[in-house]
Amino acid sequence: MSDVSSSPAFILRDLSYRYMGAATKALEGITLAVHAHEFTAIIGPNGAGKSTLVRVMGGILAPTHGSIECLERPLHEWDRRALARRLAVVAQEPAPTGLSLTVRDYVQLGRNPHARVWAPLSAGDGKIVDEALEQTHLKGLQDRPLTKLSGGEQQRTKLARAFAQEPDVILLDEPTVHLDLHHALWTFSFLKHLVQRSGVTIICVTHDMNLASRHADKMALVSGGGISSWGEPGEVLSSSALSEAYECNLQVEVTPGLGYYVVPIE
Amino acid sequence: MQRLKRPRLGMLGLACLLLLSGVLGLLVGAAPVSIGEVWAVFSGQTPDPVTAIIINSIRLPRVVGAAFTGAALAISGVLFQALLRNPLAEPYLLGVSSGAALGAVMALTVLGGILGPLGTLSFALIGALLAIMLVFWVAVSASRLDTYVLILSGVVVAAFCGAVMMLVLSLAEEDTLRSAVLWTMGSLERASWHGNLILGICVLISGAISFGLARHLNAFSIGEEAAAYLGAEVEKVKRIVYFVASLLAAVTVSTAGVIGFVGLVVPHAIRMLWGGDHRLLIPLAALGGGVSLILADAVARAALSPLELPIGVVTAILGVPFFLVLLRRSYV
Repeated sequence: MSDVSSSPAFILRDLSYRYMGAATKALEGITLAVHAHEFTAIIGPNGAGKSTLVRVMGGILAPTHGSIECLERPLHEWDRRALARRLAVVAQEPAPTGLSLTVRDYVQLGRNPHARVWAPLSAGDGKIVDEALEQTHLKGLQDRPLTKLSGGEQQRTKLARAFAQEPDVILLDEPTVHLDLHHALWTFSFLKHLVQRSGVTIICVTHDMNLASRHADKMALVSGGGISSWGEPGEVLSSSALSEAYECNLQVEVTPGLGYYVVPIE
Repeated sequence: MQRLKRPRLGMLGLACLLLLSGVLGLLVGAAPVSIGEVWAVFSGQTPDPVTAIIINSIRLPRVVGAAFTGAALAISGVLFQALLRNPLAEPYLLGVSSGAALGAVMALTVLGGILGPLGTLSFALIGALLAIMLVFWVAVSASRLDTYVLILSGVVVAAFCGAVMMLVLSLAEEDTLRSAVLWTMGSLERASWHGNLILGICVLISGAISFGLARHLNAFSIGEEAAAYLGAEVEKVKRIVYFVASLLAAVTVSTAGVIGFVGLVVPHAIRMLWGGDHRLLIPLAALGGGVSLILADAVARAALSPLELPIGVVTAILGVPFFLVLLRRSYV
C-alpha cells in the first residue's frame, strides 16, 4: 500500500471465508491491496489459508464476509468469460486422465475466453498459442499428450496456457511445487519477465521464500487465515515474524544481490 | 500411435463412408437387392414395385434410423465422458437404459403388450426420464451438481432398475418373456419415418448445443475449477450436458432398445485417431457412430439371413476387437 502510482489489481476489504460446516474461518479479516504491474508473492505455512485465498480471489468461492474488487469492479459482478480475459489462474489441477489433450490443445484452452462460440480458432489465436509455446520452451513437445510429460513440463504447460489467455493479472497457486531448483528459478524469472516486459500483475502463492524474495516486489505473509505482514521482501522476511508464523526457529540472512535466505535453526 | 493430421479430411472421409455404408445397408437383407435396382428406385424408375417397397419403406428408414441412432449414442458418449472426466463413461452408465428397459418390460409383460409398439416406446421413455430425474435429484444441491455423486447414484439406480426388471421377467408368462428379452437386446427393426424425424431433430439440436459447448468440454478435461477459470459457467454447462446426453440416450433406447458399445467405443476411436478437441470430436464421433451402426445393422441382417441377430450383440462382437486393437496400438 506504499505504492500509489498504479491502481490496484485487487482490493480485499475485511474479507472472511468459512467452509460449510467448518468450526473456524479459513480466512479472517483480510484487507489487502495488490498493485497492478507488480509481482506479489504470498507465503505462509500449510493450512494458513493461501489456497482458499486463491480460490476466493479467482471467484470460485464467494466470501462469507467483506468485499473483493478485481480490476476496479466488484468480483461478483464480473461475467466469468469477461473475467477470464483479464485474469488467468494457475491452480492445482487434478492429474491428467486418459481423456487428456495434447500440449498444444491444452495451451489452446487459454484462448477459450476469447474465442467465439461457433467459430474455429483464428490465425491470430494460433500465433498467440505459438508464442506461448515458444516462451515456455514447449514448441517441440506440442503434439505430446499431457499424460506423457514430466512434472516440470506440466507446470510449464500451465504457464503457457495462462500466457495464451493474454491476461492483465495472473494468480498462481504454488507454480514451483515439485520443481527442481533449475525449473523453479526459471519459473520465477519467467513471471518476473512478464511483469517487466508486458506489465502483467503477478500474484503468486509459494513456499519458496528465497526465490520469491529475489523476484517479488511485494510479499504477504499469511498465517492463521489472516495477513500477518505485508510489504517489500525485506519488511516481511523478519526472523521473528516468520518464526511465529511457521512455529519454528527461523533465521533470515541477507546476501547482497541474491536476496534473502530463510534458514531453519534447530 | 500417430494421430491423423487432417481432421477436415477425416470428416469428409467419414461422410463418404456414411453414404457408402448406407448403400450397403440397402443391399443386404433377406431379399437380395442389386445396386442397379437401388439406382433405379432412386432415379424414379420403378421396375419392380416389391423392390421399391423394400427399399423405400423397409430398408431406407432403417438405414437412416441406424445413422441417427449411432450419431446420438456417440454424441451422448462423448458428452458423458467429458462431464464425468471418466473414460469408462457411456450413454447407459447412469441408468437411462435400465430405466427404459424396465419401462418397456413392464409394458410388454405386466400389461401384456396391449398398448402396442407405441405404448412400449412411451413406457420406455417414461422409465428413462424417471431414472434421469432421480439420478439428477440425488446428485444436485442448491449450488452444485456433484459428478462423483452423479456416477454413484446413476450406477445404483441402474442396478435397482435392473433388479426390478429381472423380478418382472422372472414372473412373466412364457410368451411375453421372449418379446421382452428381445426388446432389451436392441433392434432397428422398429425404425419408421416418424421416429427418424424425431431422432433426427434430437441429434441436430443436441449436436448443435454440444458443439457450442465444445471449448468448455475441452476445459472440463483439466477439471471443473480450471474450466471456470477459463470462462465456463461450470454449473450451467454441467446441467446442460447431463440433460442433453441423457435425453439422447433416452430417445435412442426407447426407439431401438439397448445398443451397447457404440457410445463407448466410437468416441474413444475418434479420440485416438484425431485427438480430443471436442470441436472436432463431436461431429467426427456423430459421423463415426452413424457409420458403425449402419454397418453393424447390415451385419445383423446378413450374417445368418434370413434370421436377424440382435444388433446389440453385433456391436459388441465387432466393436470390442476393433477397439482392443486401437487401444493396443495407441499405447505401443
